[in-house]
Amino acid sequence: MTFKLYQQIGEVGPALSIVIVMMSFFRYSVRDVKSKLVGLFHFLSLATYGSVATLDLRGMEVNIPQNIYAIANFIILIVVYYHALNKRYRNFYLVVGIGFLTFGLFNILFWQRMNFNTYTMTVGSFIVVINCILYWYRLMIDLPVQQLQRVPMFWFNSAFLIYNAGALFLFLFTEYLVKVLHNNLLIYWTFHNILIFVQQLVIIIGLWQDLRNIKSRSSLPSAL
Amino acid sequence: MAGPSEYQVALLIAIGTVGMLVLAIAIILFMVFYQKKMIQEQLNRQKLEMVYQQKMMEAALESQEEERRRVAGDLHDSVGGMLSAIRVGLITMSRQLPNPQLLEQQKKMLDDTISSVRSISRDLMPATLDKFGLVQAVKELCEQFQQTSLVTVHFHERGEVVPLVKVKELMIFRIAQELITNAVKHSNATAINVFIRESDHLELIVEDNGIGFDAEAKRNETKPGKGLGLFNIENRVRLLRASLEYDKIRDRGSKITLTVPL
Repeated sequence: MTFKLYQQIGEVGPALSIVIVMMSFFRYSVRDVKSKLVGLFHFLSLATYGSVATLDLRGMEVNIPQNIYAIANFIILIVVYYHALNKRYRNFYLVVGIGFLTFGLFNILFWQRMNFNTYTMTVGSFIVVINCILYWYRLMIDLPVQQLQRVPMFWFNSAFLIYNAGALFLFLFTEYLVKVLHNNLLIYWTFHNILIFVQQLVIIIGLWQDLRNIKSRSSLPSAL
Repeated sequence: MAGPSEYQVALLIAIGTVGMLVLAIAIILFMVFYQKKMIQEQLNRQKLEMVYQQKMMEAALESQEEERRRVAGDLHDSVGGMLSAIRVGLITMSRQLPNPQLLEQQKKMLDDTISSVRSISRDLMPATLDKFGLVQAVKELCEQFQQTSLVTVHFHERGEVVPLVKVKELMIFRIAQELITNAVKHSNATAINVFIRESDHLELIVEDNGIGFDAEAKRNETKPGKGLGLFNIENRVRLLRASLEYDKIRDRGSKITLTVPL
């Protein structure tokens, strides 16, 4: 694995994030709240990418924006699922959101501090995977539409599941990999970037579907 | 002892990540297929429920018709017969009286009662429908309305209407009866036109020059008994697999078209 190849793979992510942000905020007033939140989530990802690059250039600690982003990203995803599940489990999401925020802040302040906050990422990914399964479960019970592939949230959920299932594995073994690979984490990050790339592609399909639904004025249930 | 090489670690990460990805994709695929299967089952269940409801509706209408037939028969044969016998007795009695004019009024009342009973019996189960078919029965219906109300009811037949199955004809006749009754009772119309025509389907049109009506509002009437006529019409339409169209783009009056596939 060369550094150049790693860089090239890494550049795809922000480029796709720009596409996602544009697609999410296009025709803003008629867009579903979940699509807007997905846009916001990628906008934050771009901002984090920019600030990491800036801090790197100045020779400063690069993990701070990344660690804050991990918390913000999780909170946005929680809000997405809260809306996707018809605002059903308000108290559950409130507890999970506040609990995760507290945990993330403690991790930044007392445990992993300026290091890459793998604990936060692992817990976050795990909870997102649980949410994905919970969403599938509700989908099986409610059976809201005949054509699942026409539901944008189906694609968003698939994207989150694919990324978080893979990333959970990576985050779980980060501590070990750091020791084994002696801080030569190019392979680790390349795998992570590929997962992000797949997630973004699937999200783009969902956003494209959302735009198609708006265009054809098909009335899909608001819960989706 | 030497630790794992970079290649081994990369392989491990690759296997783990791909494994998780495969698991995620498997969940997604399972979900898609399972959901499709569930929806298919739900559709089948709905279809069965619809068939069941249709059969129930058919049975209810059939028993309604049966009851009408029985009441019409009883009225005609039993009550009508008895009234005729009383009339004969009354005539005989009047002949024996020195002043037969005294019973003239009673005789007239009895005649009116007999004709009322006949009319009710005919409304309940029109013999013309059985004997001469739908077109004649609807024509007769129009004539009856013309005679008994202040509204002019015109009947128009376009083309030759081929006789249908008796059950179908009876349902169409009931729809026509209900539509004309509604027009006479509620539309404040002065003229009603009834058309029957046949091409690749049978078409029955009831048109009036009254105040018009909003079918949707009638359907949503919450008072007990209100909108029942429309409900019955629509049930029959469903059983006939026909369609009922309310012409909304009209300045005055209403036009309702029943289209029955042949």
